[in-house]
Amino acid sequence: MVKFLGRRLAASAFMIAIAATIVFFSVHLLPGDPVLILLGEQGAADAEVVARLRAQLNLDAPLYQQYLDWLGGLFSGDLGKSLQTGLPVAEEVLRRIPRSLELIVAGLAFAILLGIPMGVVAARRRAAPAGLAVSAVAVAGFSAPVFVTGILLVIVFSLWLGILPSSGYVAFGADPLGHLAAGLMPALTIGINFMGVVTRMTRASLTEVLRRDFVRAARARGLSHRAAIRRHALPNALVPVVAILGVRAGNLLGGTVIIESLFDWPGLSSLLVSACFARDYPMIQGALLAIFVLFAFISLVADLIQSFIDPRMRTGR
Amino acid sequence: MRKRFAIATMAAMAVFAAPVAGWSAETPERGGTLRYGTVTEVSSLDPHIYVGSAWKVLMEALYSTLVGFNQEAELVPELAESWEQPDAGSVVFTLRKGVTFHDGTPLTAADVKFSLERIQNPDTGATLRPNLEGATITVVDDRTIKIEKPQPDATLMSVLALPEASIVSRQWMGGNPNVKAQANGSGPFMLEDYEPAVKATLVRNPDYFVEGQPYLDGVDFRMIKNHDARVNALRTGAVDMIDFVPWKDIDALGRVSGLVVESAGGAFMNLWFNATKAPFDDPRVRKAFAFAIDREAISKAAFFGHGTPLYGPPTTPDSPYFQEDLAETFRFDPEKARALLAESGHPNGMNVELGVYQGLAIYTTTAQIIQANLKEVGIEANIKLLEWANVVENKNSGNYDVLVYGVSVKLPDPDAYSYYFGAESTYWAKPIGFRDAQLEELLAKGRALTDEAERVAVYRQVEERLLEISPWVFINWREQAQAYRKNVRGYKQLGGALSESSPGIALPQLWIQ
Amino acid sequence: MRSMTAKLVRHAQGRNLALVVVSPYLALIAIMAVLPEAIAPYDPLAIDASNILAPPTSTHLLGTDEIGRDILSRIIYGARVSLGVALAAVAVACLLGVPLGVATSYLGGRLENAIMRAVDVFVSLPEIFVAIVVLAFLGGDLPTLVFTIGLLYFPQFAKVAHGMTASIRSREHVLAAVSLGAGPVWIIWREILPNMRSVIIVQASFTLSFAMLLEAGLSFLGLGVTPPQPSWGQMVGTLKDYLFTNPWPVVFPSLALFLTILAVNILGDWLQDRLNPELGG
Repeated sequence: MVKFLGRRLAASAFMIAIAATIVFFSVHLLPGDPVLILLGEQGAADAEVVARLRAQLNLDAPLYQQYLDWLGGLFSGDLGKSLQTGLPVAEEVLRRIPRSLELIVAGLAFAILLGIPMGVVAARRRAAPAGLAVSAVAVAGFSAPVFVTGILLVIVFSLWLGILPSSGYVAFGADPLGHLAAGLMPALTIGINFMGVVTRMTRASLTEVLRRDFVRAARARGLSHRAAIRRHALPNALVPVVAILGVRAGNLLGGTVIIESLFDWPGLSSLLVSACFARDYPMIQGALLAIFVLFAFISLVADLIQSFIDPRMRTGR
Repeated sequence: MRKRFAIATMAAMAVFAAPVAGWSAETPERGGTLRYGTVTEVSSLDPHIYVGSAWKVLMEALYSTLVGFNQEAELVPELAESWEQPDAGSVVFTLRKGVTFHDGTPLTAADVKFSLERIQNPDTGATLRPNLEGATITVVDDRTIKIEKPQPDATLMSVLALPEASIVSRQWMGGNPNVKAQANGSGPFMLEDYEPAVKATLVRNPDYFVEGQPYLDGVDFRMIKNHDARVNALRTGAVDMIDFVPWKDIDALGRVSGLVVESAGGAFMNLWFNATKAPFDDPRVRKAFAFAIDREAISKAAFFGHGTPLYGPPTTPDSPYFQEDLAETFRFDPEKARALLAESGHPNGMNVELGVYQGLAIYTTTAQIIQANLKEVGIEANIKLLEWANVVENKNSGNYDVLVYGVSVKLPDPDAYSYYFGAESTYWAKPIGFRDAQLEELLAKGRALTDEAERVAVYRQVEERLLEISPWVFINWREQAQAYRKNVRGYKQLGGALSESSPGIALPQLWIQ
Repeated sequence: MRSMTAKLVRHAQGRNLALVVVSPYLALIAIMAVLPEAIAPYDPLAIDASNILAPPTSTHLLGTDEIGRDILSRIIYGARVSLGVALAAVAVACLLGVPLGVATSYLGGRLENAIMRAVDVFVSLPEIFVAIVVLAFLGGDLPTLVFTIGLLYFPQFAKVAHGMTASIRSREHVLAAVSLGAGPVWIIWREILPNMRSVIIVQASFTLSFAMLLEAGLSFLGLGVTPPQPSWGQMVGTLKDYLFTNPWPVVFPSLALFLTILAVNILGDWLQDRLNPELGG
């Protein structure tokens, strides 16, 4: 187990290093000049001012030099300073991570709790109206663009019923209930979208497993259909579901920008996107690095969950 | 010409500005916090680099300038209690007594010198650097400071009244603070908490130099970039006031009882030509565009009726510089556009690339209408959506055909034209090497004059020349609206160059009923 | 307990029932995409500033958009762009990903590992970041959009193809064929690709849905299909601005998007059941 973890960590570190390098160069080669954006549209963008500001921000050094500087800083735990705010990148990124994670975790929980049972129904009664209806609901969940789902929630819960705030982030420390109320709709928007994906994947995977010999064998041994599904088929079917969920949950780290924008929730995705639009190089790199690390962590957790629910993996085979 | 302002009357005017100017004689109540939702995600609090409208409001709240504007758009004393102008190129300010920065250090003439020289320093990248170029700043004594420009400059006072000319503490700056994230001004409010692009929490400055102000205990800035989220926050009562009301919502919010919407023309939409590159170097081609555009349609569709068409130069009818006869120059006339195109040697039309900022519906909608209009006269325009970073880069490197560009009025003075069209201005002309000798001469003349009647005559000539050569096509005024709950009192929306500052100007006198 | 036969009958009925509904719908969409000129009542680019954001009327059956264009006509023309972009992007993802996955499996050793790790890196890059980078470099025309979306989804095809190849290659009859002298090309052509088909098609139907939605998401951020050209995603992304004040116009493009994705998914399910060799007929 320790050896497995060690190898996983080494592989992840290697992956992250490659990714960070690709990101560094692609970001610096992007058209668009951070200095011009800093000076503002009304700014005095004459050549002298631009050159001086570029020098101050160390953007005039050769690219490889900037890369080495950044790597050097990285090893001493310094992600650099934001070009826009002059504040340490690490501070800003760390502030945003929990905000994004809580939405994703809550959304995932919702999606799994509803999606897996729905997937089972859809797989068992694939031909029956119930199964088709569940499939249609699932597809509806992920085929509506998230902003449509989000806006509909706002219309119902904020404008009509007036029971949830339409947008905004409230720190948990300042007002725990307010925090939960503010996070409910964005989490639900993620959850509804994700529930469809979970349902579809559970259905596909379970359909496949139900035809395998061991499930039939279990039935032959006298287990009821329901028990055969619960004890044998479902755990097997969930292995690939968890694998794909891991990847998609990781994707959400940088993929909730629309939801964050809609609900004015200052998370990691919106940080990344505004940094991209402002060409704030250190901030883009820092945000992506955080995403890579969290991604690696999530896929590790997904692997561990898989080995836990898969009997074959559990016995060490 | 000499001007001298008596301290007593001016101070009195500042104190009573709100009750006198307001539409009711209510007595302001003290207390309460204003929750203000803004479109700009303010990423820097550097008081000398403009980064958007909410930044202006924050600067007005946190810092002070030598002079300022009141809610009647008149120039009034702030840190300077009086001033005199020995000649048209210089001014001597006498500072108010007993003003302190938020950290308690007293404000002196040395701070003023430091601040203005920081603006001049190319290392700062200050927005007003070109306006203060060549000025000499001399400390006469602790409370007296002299500013001299090498040439007469009628705009100097207006420039010094902009929040971009805020006065910072020399001592504080000496400690090398991160001015992008911290603030130590002498304004009505102090910065308590700030998260870049997310929020800023301000509390009352108990030692503000205007007695009895501000009325509010504090202001919470919530930066809500998403337009629907901002509007809904106001509708549901999560905030008391929002800026940049989306045009589609101006009428709808105005109908909601309990809400007030105030709007005024604060910016204008244009087509920018690369006027030194064929075929756009021919004024006839540019004027063909000007006649081809159906401004009425743009006003209706892109601005939901809140975007008055601009058939002439961008001067508002309430300005002394407004010329009624010029205001009808480019009435929609596709025939004339076709004729001008033929005359300029393009009887079969042309293909152009229309660069458009992708982030705002008003831009993309305007562009699509323009595209359809141009097609009518034989011009095939291909829309190219650009991120803001690319708009700025393309503009500064002169790499474009035609851009749809929104311009905020730069100065409350017609010399704003120098900023827009002056050959040395990096805003538009310099990157493409545009220089019109006649225009240059007229602009210099206007800047050197101080008598308003004489200036009106000169700027009429400037505008005539502008319409004649049409370096840009002026399309329409863009009304900028603020919406607030009825219990927010003492607000007044100003137009033109003061549009973005209006909430900031009002802030010390705002109160909640 | 129900009898096996009854179950099978119900099963087949259900599948066909879905297909009976889905096929004509998809055929209609296909006609819209191929021959919009023949069915669209108006020019999809004709603007009318005095009639914006109108609800459905007898002249404009589905209402008008933010500059007075006929929504029905734009949906009809939009089918071409939406389906075209999504199908082309899926083709790009498939043609990049499948060969890469299969070939990598044959490389073996460290190189195989390194390439699959690189693919993993790509998976962990946020979609929106990749989109911003590619679009900033190449501009926002349709081929770029296709390329961007294709690029975003190719790693998934590569991973699936890689995994399938490894498992098929280790099957006994394939090992036997190899020992009898069958070359890799023969094996890939006769064994691997046919066995992979069903999984790839299901993956493709999934990806098709995501591609159409991604296009909508990019439009939300102003990075999607360049106006005035209509696409469903762009229509939803633009008209959602008016959802609070004029909800009508956004309903129909959303519906087109939803129904098409639903249809594609039902088709995908059907194909999955149909093509999975282990399920038999």
